[in-house]
Amino acid sequence: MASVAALPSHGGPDLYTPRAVRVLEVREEVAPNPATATRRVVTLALERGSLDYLPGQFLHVTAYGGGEIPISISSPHGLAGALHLTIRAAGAVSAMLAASRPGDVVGVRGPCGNAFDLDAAVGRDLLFVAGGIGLAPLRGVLAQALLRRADFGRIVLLHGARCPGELLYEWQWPEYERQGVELLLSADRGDGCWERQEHPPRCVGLITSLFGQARIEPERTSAFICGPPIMIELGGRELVERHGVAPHRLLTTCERHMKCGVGKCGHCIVVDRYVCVDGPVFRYDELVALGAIEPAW
Amino acid sequence: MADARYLLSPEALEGILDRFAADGTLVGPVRRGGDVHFLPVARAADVCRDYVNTLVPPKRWFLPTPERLAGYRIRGGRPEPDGGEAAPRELVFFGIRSCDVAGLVQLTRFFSGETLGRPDLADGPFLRRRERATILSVVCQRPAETCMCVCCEGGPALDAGYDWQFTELTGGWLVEVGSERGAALAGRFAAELAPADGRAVRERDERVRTVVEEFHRASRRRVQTMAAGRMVSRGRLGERFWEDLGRRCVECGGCANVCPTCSCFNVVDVPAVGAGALPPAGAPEPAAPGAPTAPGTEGSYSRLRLRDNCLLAGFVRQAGGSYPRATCGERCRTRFFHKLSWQFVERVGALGCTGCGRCVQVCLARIGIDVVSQRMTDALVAAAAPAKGA
Amino acid sequence: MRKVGAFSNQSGDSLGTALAGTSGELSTIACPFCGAGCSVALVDGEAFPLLGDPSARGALCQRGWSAGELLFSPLRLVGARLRERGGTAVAVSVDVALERSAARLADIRGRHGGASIGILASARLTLEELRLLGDLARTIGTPHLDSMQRLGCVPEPSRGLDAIDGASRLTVVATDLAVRHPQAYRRVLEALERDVPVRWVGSQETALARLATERIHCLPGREVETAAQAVRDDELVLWSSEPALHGQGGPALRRFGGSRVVRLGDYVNQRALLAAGAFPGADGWSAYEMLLRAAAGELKALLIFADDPFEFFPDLAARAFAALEFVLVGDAVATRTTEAADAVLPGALLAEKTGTLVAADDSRRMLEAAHSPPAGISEGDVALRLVTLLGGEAGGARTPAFALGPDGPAADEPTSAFPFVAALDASTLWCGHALVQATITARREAWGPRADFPDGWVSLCAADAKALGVRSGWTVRVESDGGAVQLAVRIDGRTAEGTVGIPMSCWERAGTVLGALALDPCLRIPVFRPRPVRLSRT
Repeated sequence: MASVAALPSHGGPDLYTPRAVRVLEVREEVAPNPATATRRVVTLALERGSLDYLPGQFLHVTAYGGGEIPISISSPHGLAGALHLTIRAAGAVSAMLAASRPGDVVGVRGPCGNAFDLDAAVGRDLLFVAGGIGLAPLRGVLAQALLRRADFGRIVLLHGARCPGELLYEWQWPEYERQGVELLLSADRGDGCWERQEHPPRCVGLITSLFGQARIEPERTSAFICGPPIMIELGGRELVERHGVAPHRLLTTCERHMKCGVGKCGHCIVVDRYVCVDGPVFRYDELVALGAIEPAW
Repeated sequence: MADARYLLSPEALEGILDRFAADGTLVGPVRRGGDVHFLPVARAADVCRDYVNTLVPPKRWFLPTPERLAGYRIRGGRPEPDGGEAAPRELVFFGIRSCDVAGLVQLTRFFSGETLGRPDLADGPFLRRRERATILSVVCQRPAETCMCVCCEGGPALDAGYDWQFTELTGGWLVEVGSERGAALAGRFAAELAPADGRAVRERDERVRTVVEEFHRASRRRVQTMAAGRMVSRGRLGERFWEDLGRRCVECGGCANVCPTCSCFNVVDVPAVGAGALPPAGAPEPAAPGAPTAPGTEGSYSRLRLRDNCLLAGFVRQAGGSYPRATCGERCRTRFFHKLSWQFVERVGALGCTGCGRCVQVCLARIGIDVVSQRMTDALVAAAAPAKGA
Repeated sequence: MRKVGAFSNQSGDSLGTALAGTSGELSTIACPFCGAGCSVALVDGEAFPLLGDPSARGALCQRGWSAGELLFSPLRLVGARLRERGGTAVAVSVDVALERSAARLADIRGRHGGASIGILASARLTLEELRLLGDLARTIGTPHLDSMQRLGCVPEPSRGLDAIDGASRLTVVATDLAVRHPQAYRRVLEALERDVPVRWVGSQETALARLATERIHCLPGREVETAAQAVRDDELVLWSSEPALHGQGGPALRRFGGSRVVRLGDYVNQRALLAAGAFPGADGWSAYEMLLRAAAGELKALLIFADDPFEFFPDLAARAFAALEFVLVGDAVATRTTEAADAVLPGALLAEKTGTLVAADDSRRMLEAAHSPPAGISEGDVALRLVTLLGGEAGGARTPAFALGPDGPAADEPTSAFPFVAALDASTLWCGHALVQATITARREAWGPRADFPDGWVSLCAADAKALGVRSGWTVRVESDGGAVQLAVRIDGRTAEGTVGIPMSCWERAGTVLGALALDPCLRIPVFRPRPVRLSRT
């Protein structure tokens, strides 16, 4: 299963000028909590206009006056009227974007990068492993799969975070389950009451501790893993080595500091790949061959 | 037609240069004090003749730093686009050396999107300047002590990449046409150009051969492309190799700034001069000095592209404080991988180094590409012949 | 002002009239970012070194490469402001700001006397501007004129960087040349290539420490005596402001003087402070003393030219400003100090000044303004106008007697109870500087560690961190016999075992609690005396 290049188009008058779009809705996903070093996370619904994309791709988003950062698209292809971006307020620009209100205007360039290839997974089980904000890019491809639910077997979503407050899209979990997604949750540490609730099924511990519970049948599973680099490394290795998932059937996204999104500024280079053009979606075996899974690169 | 060769007398060359200077289009090497710079030239006589090369390559004429990519104003909380950039002028560059022409070829291939197979991602600002540039290169016959183009297919003469390539002969110049634009220029100056005869071509070849031989005989410096390429491409230089280098490096970034093939850049939205303000206490530091932290702040902003380089820690820092390449040694590895690895030769179509020797001059830690590639060679030798009893 | 020529390809409005060079014009400016005083060439905003510059010799450090960005910085001050206490700042014309300021100063002088007003000068000013500050001090009738940037500078000149080229033996004392004085670093590396023996004496694991022919490790605070024992008569000794900042300035000046010393300056025109007499005599307060006295209510007004006390002393400066009746600041860029001032006057960068720079070896260099300052005036113009408004005259000379006071105490030895030594990491000197913060690239590089460690840090070597069971980012308690402070751990390969480093960004907070921060009686500058401490996990 390969990752696909998809829908290159760069909206604005040229490669570097953003196109202004309106913010339609803002939903707070995660409230900030200094005690746990939890940052604010919001989802913006932007007016899509004619902008077309596939899940896996990202946009360069401008907070006018502040600057521009890359954000994965969290909605499926073809969603009427809007596209979703989930933003964590980690730095100055993301904080400005996270402070948007409906009616505000932000800039977008893109879509950039390649996309997840769902066609190659038709007829198979889908396993999504999402650590923290890593669920944001996977949400789009999950939604895409649910739009063609009958094409796939089991769909399993394993979602973990450092603490329960950082789990994403809680408001959508019932909808996922209604559409036949098996949802399992984990938190590195509990808060005293989260772990006592029964549904969805959950445990306190690393997300890798959910792998056994997921009852993966590796020969019919296509997997997607996204999250902090250390989680991708450890989780990916465990899926491949202990649970038998084929490395070429495990897709992940790489995150890097970016400045252009079009393979020019050089910031996102990993070995000899440009994450913004050759990625951000990569096969696990590709990254291992590059030596990019090791923290060193 | 391309590939034609001509003879040009010295007087005729002055005349042609004066024509370009009068048009206001000539950029050439100009001496100011102890340095030579590529600057606009008002008269042919101002063009410096006895120089080897400028300390910085003529990248700024194609990739200015800073360069204004776009601009916008925020009024009433709403952004409005703010004027485009004026179209660049036609320019004629005389006196560019082969190492820089080779660099420009790579930069052009890169910025056209060809390197990544994505012509839809062509960089308009760069290409608009490139398309309006005429390259009249001059073959080096007296290289500097730091020059190493011979190691890198960067000179002293090239087969392509220029519009005209000049070689100084006894009593005149050999002009080699290397492009359609060069052919058109030859048509424009048909009266001044005489077809080159076999003798002139042989003299040119002989002169170039002499430069190459002299380099091999007398120069102590090399870019060790074979050994270095092998070691760096296969990841055979251990952590210790890079740590030693990284500790010595002062992270000035000079090497990338003067490298003909380096093009990495930063993009920041900056307020107008004097329109910035320090962020309120507790607000996150903005990316640009004085930039606002609240959305919709009134003012006029420029999206600037500035040179950047991968040796600096901030180049890779991600918001939240993670550094994929946290040590200077890892960043040195990144740089030399880009310059010397087979992977990049495969991607780019040429070696990332053209042997111009500027990094040797500009490095405060005295670890130019000659020193580093030699260390790689030493590491290869050491790996092949381990110490007895080790 | 800026000319738009044939090759202009920038619409330019947003970049303002201060954009360096246009149309392929070449200008040369002085880099302000250390004492080497390299020239930086500029073409259309691109900064690069000159082979022909005796200091740069075709190379620049990372700050030097960023120097051109200052000319179009959004943080440039482009106009004057006045602020009523408790109110917001209001833009006014320069004339109005000067007239009101002169009136305030005259009033304060009338009620409290001239000696209730202090002047902070800066090494970012030319010799001529500093002389005008002397005239201003005389006009006001105050003996208090000094600069926070004087550091360990004294009237005796030392050798310049070129002395390294001819040295047959070298000793480098305490300073991390690669970070602090990269031009000196290169010359020392060249000396090593010529097989010149180079000795390193210091407490840090610097780049040079590993490359030197001989290396003597010592505890912080002991560098001077250790080096003095090792150094021979025929050696050239290189040292910077570390001994002074550690409180060993007096011993350093006595042990290493004369023609065999290169005192590496931190600021381009540091020596001009001495040459212009911009330092206190016996009856004047030093810069740090002025801040202390202001906080105590004994100084009523402060005039600050091209400096930013909030940078290194946020707490003291806040207390001082609250107690002062009137503060005037003239600077080229916005700082926390200009934000807190009552009157702000726009100033000029060195690139925009014509005047004299004085090098470490006392040689003079004429600076010619390559660009116009955005508001058209410099700090010197402000000083001159104030002199006139206050009824004085320019052109006098100021010749206070320079005297070193008694040495401060020697640094304490670590004990079993306090086994580590906490010392100032002076390599962070430039990180928070107003001029660095006004660039884009140098700012990003300096800012990264501060963003990663917003409340400061304590640097440990990897081995000590492991032994303590802490990782980068974890909080440790650093405790001396004076008190304890909690700081985040930062693993730093340059920190030696048994020592911990405190950056200048939190040296006030940590130094006050640990009993390290003190006024050095010898040079009358603030110093961070190395203190024995113990570390514990929190």
